[in-house]
Amino acid sequence: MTVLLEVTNAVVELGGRRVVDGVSLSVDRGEIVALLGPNGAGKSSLIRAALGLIELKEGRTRLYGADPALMAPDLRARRAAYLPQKPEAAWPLSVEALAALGRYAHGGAPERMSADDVAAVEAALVACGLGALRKRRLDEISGGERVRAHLARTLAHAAPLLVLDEPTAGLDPAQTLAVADILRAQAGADGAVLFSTHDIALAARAAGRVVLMRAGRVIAAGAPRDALTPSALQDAYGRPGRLIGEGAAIAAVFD
Amino acid sequence: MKLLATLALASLAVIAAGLFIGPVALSVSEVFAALFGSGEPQAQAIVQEVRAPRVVMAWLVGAALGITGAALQGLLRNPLADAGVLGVSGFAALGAVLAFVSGAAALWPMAPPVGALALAFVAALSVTVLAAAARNAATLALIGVGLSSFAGGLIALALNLAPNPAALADLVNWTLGSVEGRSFADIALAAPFIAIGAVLMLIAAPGLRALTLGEEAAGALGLRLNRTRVLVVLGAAAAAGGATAFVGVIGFVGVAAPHLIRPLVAHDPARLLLPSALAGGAMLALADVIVRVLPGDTELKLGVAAALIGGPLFALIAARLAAKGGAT
Repeated sequence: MTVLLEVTNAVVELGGRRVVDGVSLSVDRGEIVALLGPNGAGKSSLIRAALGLIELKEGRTRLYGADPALMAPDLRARRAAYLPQKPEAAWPLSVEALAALGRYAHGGAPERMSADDVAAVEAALVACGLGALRKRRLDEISGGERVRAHLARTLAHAAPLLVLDEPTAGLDPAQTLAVADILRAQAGADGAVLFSTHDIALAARAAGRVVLMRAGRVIAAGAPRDALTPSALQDAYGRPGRLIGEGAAIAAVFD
Repeated sequence: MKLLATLALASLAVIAAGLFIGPVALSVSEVFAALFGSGEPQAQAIVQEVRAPRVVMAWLVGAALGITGAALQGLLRNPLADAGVLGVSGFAALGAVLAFVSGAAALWPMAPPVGALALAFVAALSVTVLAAAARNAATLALIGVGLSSFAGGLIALALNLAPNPAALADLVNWTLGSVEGRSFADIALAAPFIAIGAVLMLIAAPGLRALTLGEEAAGALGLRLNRTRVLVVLGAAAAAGGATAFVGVIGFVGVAAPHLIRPLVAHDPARLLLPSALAGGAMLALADVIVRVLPGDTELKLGVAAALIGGPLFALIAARLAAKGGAT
């Protein structure tokens, strides 16, 4: 199976408003796809609908060829790990306990962790640079560290597909680049990533393909250089902008 | 494991104290003799038929309320949730009152707990549905206050309209809660409901841990949300129903016990359940021992004692939550 996630003509309505309006999207094995667009473009709704977490009014979504809304939740969680835009934790668990929640669908729980569970949590903590903070409580660490703890939870699923809604919100530039490395590692390990972001430079650097949305529709899609033209950026954000620089030094500037 | 053992020992110690302490002075040897069926008939009656069932019932009810509070808090992700606060106990008491005043209890001894369970289920279900709409802690508490007052009004009405006019004392017993005069027969009726409820909630425990992340994220984590909801609502109704059917409404144990235990289990909502049951049992049994030895002609109702200790604690937790602006 090379197409991990395929969304076709998706329409999502929230509170009577059409927030996603006929979007198609696919994520193949080995790919990193970035969702871009201004606030309210429908990125989060598209992500949630793609995973079957909210209802599709029209169109369809397929995770490994099956409808994720009808899939057993644990099977879905072993195929795709989801990081919400504003991840919450009702109780101040330890960083390690939060990451271990990612093993829920594998039957892992703090009182009985298999060797696989332990290894997956360990790898996730190390990848997110949280090795030294593992015993700390979520209310005793910084906002950026909390974001990484939630990301570690997502990685601990050991799912082929990562679906991340603004995984770098609130992170400093160095940590943002560390997340980019995590995404590349995921794609390199025969997995795939779909993530939304407001960081155009990050999308241009890390993603093989970007999907630019506005008002629930896709206005440009393709390789970052091809899709993020000045006219597409103007169209999306309402201000003239362009990509400058090359490779690691790429940046987006707006007038 | 160590925590559970400590709490179990504390429970045993308090239950033992409940056998030895009371308004009638009995020596240690008299109590032992009475327990094993020898010694003065009067002492035997006091220990076997008054003190023992009373302290055991207090422990059982405390355990039921403790585990129910812990499970409801996990489900609603709210440290103020508890059977009393949410009106579940009030409706359970109403169900039991209806069984008694309608005469059903005389025909079928299971009628009070079954009636309590049925109405507790209705209340738990309504509160869960309403809680989904109202996300924050204060709103949820307000919904509970409304449901509790409503249940209290309906209990008063039922007692008022009863064919054999019930005394005001009955109303007081149901709405304030008391273990006075409970027998082992009552315990035998209440215990299975409490045990089944506890098992249902324990089955849901790992799901409560997943719910730490919120409902949608927990679903993406692999949780069958509706299964967890049904288990907790049914379990809470059975445990709180069984507990309330014979002792009336006792508040705050379900808030206090999990609150004290939470830091000891690293704030894990799944590991919270069993220790909260043991702690709730020990706390309520202790409160019952304390009300026995307080000076005064009329004994303080157990529910009043629980409210005197639990009420301020509830306010303190609520104030802390408000200061933090909600949980992490």
